[in-house]
Amino acid sequence: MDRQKKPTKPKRPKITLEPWQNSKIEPYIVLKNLSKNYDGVPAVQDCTLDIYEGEFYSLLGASGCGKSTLLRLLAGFEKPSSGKLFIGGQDMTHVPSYNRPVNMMFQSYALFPHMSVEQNIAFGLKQEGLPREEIKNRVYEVLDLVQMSRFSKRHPNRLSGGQQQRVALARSLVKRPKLILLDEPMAALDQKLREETQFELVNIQEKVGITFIMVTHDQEEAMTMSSRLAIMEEGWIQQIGTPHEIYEFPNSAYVADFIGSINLFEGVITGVTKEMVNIKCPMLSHTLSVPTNTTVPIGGSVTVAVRPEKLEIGIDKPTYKHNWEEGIIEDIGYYGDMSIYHVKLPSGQTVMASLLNLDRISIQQLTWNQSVYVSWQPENSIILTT
Amino acid sequence: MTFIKKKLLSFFSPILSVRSWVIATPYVWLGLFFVVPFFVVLRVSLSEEVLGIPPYTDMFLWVDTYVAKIIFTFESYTYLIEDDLYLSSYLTSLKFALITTIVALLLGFPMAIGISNLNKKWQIIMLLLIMLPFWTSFLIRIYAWLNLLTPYGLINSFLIYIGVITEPLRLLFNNFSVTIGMVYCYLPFMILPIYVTLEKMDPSLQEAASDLGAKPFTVFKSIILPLSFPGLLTGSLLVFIPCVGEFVIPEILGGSDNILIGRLVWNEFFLNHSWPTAAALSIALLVILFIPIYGLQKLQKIFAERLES
Repeated sequence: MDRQKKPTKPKRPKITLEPWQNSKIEPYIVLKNLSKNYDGVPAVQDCTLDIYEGEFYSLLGASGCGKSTLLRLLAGFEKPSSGKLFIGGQDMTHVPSYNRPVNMMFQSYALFPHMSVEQNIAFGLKQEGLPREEIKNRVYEVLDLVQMSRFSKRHPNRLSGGQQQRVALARSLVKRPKLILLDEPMAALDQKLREETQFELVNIQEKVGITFIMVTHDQEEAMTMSSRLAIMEEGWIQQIGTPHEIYEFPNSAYVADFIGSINLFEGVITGVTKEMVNIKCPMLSHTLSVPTNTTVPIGGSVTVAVRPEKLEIGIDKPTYKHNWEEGIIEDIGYYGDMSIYHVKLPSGQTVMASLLNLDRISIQQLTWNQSVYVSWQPENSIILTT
Repeated sequence: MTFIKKKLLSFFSPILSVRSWVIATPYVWLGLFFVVPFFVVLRVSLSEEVLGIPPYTDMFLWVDTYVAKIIFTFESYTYLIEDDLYLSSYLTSLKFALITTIVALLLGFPMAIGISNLNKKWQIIMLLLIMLPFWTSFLIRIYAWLNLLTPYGLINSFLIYIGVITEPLRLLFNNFSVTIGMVYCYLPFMILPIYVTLEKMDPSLQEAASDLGAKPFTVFKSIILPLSFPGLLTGSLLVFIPCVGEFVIPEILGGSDNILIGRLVWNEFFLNHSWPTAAALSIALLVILFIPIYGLQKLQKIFAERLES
């Protein structure tokens, strides 16, 4: 997304909402053209990122997209092949990990098996040479924060996965770093615990006010937790934006498909008016009409994307000219709170439409093999050119 | 009839099943080649020396066709205590084994760390290089050291050539050459168990320590060292135990001043033809070795329980 000038909001002390919108605020972490190759194979390619103080930033992508390598570059476990890295205005490109104001929470938690919970957390403070009394106070402070004080004398192997995760988080918080890196923090937790922990982690982050950067492959997790996220593919950053921007304004078919589900229609531009672009798709019987936001000329091929929840599904024939199709319900996915209908069009393409199940006994009574109409508002679809 | 058949089958089924044979194999092996010989040696050590074949007294004196008198004596053991020679050579053997273990530990630990830090391809190459000498006969390797260490051998010639010394050093037939030979032979037994422990260690533990502000030496001291303790213990035992009873290396590379226990057993058997004394020496050695093995194994168990996850 382009940086736009917005009317200035009333300033609150310390916490600034959407600091990336404010050109006066300096980003806290700056990555300039950072690249990393392993024996000539690129893992991270030309990454340029600005991350602001207090952000909860997520790096999202499929496995092998380079997000973990980027995190390891930030932690100092890997040396970049080229590019620069600044934290708090200081060049950290060649600073070893033990001298960076950064702490990491590992995917495996990496708790020291020969030390108790208390010793694990105190380890970082001991390296600073703090007095024993202060170490103890600060250890119990973070243990209280993650509600693990009563387990302080236990060894990590006597803790459950969720408890180990809390200890790992406490250990990364205790040094009061400027930046905390989280490598797939929920990967080892079960679904229920994961949802609880997500909110708790965000709450803790807001309480301590430290910048968090999280690596995840779980798009839902990234959407619910982050202030902003970067989508990565094959070492490249595909798109940076708030969860809302990424979801509603994806800049490529890859991003649109990676975040949530989406219906994609390939077509050719047949007409451009002041407000609307008309597109003819070979798989659809009606033309598509989308608000102008593209520079592709008439005759150029584009992809139109519509989210399933933006599709309307009904048994009455729409009255308007564009953006609707007739089809047969091929499959229904019942999720409890909503249902996803797979509608097969005459051309053979299947589109997905989701409906909230607002009533306990659905009035619509849509069933398999029923003939239905799917339609959508022009402003709910987007043109993707790549 | 069928009932009896069934009974018989169920009685013999453990003997007939393949599974029980597989499980029994190591026990049979240990029984035949360790337990039985042990009792043979024990029995010889409790008999008296005589001239004849075999050169020791019978344990059973047949009084009647079915009644036998058991005759045994602790004379060989009291003899071991009475003569200073035995005690001092036990101590010398333990001393050599201890020095060898410590030197192997100091050399093997950094080597194991170095290997475990290489990439997979080089790890395999280095491990192969460590095990490669085993392809050559043990004796030939020891004789090779004999050649290296002689007054006009490779080492002395080289040192004289570069002008560090003018007279050849006396490198052979002393404690130095014995220690070198033993360290050389037993070093792989130190490196391999340590390497295995390091290899199993989660690499993110070291990264986590570094991330929390620990400099490389602190990472070594507070993470790598305590976590590789089980490997260090196993390696030390694997070097220490065979070194105590080592016979060939001190025989070829050693001097006449220090007589080790292996040599004494050989002397008693082949020079003095006193089988009971030789057997008693062996049994005593076993008892002496059992104490440190038992202690270290206990220690290892405690560590394993703590690290178990």
